[in-house]
Amino acid sequence: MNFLISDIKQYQTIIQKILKYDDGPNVIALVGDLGSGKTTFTKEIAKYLGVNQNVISPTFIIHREYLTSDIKKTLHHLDLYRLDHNFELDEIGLRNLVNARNVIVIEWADKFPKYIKSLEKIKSVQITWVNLEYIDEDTRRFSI
Amino acid sequence: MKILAIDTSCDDTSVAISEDLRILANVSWSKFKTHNDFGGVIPTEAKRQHKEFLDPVIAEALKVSKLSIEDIDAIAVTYGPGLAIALEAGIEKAKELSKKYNKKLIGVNHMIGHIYSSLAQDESGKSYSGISISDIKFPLLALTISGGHTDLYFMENHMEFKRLGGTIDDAVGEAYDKVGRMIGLGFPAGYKLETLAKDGDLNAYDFPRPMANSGDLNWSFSGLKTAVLYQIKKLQNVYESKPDKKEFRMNDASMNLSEKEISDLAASFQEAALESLLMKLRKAISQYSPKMLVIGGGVIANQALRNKLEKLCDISKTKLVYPIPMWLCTDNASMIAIAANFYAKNNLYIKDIDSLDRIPGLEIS
Repeated sequence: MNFLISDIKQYQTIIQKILKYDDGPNVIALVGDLGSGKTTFTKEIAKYLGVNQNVISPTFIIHREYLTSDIKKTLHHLDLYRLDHNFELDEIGLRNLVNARNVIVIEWADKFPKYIKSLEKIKSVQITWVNLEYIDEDTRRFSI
Repeated sequence: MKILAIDTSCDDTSVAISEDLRILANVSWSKFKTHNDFGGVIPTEAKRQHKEFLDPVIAEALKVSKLSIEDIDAIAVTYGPGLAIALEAGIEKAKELSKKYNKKLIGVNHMIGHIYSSLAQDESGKSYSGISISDIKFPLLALTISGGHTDLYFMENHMEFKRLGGTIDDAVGEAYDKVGRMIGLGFPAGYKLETLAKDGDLNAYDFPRPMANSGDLNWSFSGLKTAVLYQIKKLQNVYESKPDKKEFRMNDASMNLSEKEISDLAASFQEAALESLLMKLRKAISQYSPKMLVIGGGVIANQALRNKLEKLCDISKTKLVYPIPMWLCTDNASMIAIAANFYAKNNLYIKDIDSLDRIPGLEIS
């Protein structure tokens, strides 16, 4: 699927589609350069999930978590920019986050394609790769 | 009171020994600081370093202070915010020392450490930043600015913090690092960007001051970072994304920019970032009429920011306080030791040693 997004409201429609299956954990693997809108997109996911807190950049501490309006669902926001090896993903406990009906948003997921593919073995998991591309100042291309 | 303080919140293994507000020793190990291609610290490398070097760094700090561990009254350690696996190493060691030598344990919030860093004194009792404890007048505003934080607090007493606002996305130091990467400066970029900005025209590009009219005391730096990216793309005349993502990382974005363009970008970005900071500080000062403005965190090493703050505080007759030596601005265990004094005064010791756990996203409350 390809979308051209020029209005922030359109994010909600896409997010609804991505998070439709919520019997298990939802992994959203984000791919896109600085300025492509990864943070904005994650903020919209948080809004969709009824997160009350402000979603701020996870770059510094790599992983932040947020309570959603659904008690069985935690939003995990990860930034893999500073990581280089698979074992580091083990150390930060990525695999353990992928459970229940959690939503796990992973920025710079393209650094670890194999590892993220290996998460497919987890029961009822739904992995969605989202490419964000800068088209111009007001437009982003979404490929899912 | 003699305190041995440990900070392993990020990539420095830092240990300090203090007696009251006097720093008797401050030893940091960051020789093995390893940065990857993408900029930033490799967390597991930091953890390995902390584990390996904590013991020798502690031994060296004790040696410098001419004290033995038996002389110490309390062990203080950073328990957040920071990298989970890095924090863990320091906490583990602090618990071990606390149990083995039967010392009181104090868990310190790293950001409270930054706020109190200006009070550090040298061995003879002379303040490094020209500020003594009797100079502290409440109410005051405290601003923390670093690679991970941009937060503003109102204080009416020691150790009482009311959060007034903060960044809603990237920290100001993070914006410096990310923009630095865009214009090809590597990591960390803060100091290099500031140096480049001196040669640039701060009005060359009209970057936004995000949240200027938001009415609150929050900041946003993500949009500014993106505005710099747009400007770079315009300069490069690249309006489409490169097809091969692997080839196109932001550190390549500076390609085809002239030296003048790069320094103009640096100067214009810095002006926008600092003016954003100042705008909300101005607003907060007029709203809260504080007696002092206290700054802590790595970004206060920036001279352009210091100049702007001096002016602001001159005009508003607010006393400005910030850590002067570079090592007190960046992460260090001395500030943890200083803050620990105030934890101790408020009897904020860890009652059950085993209960102390790292909190990577710890906030001040």
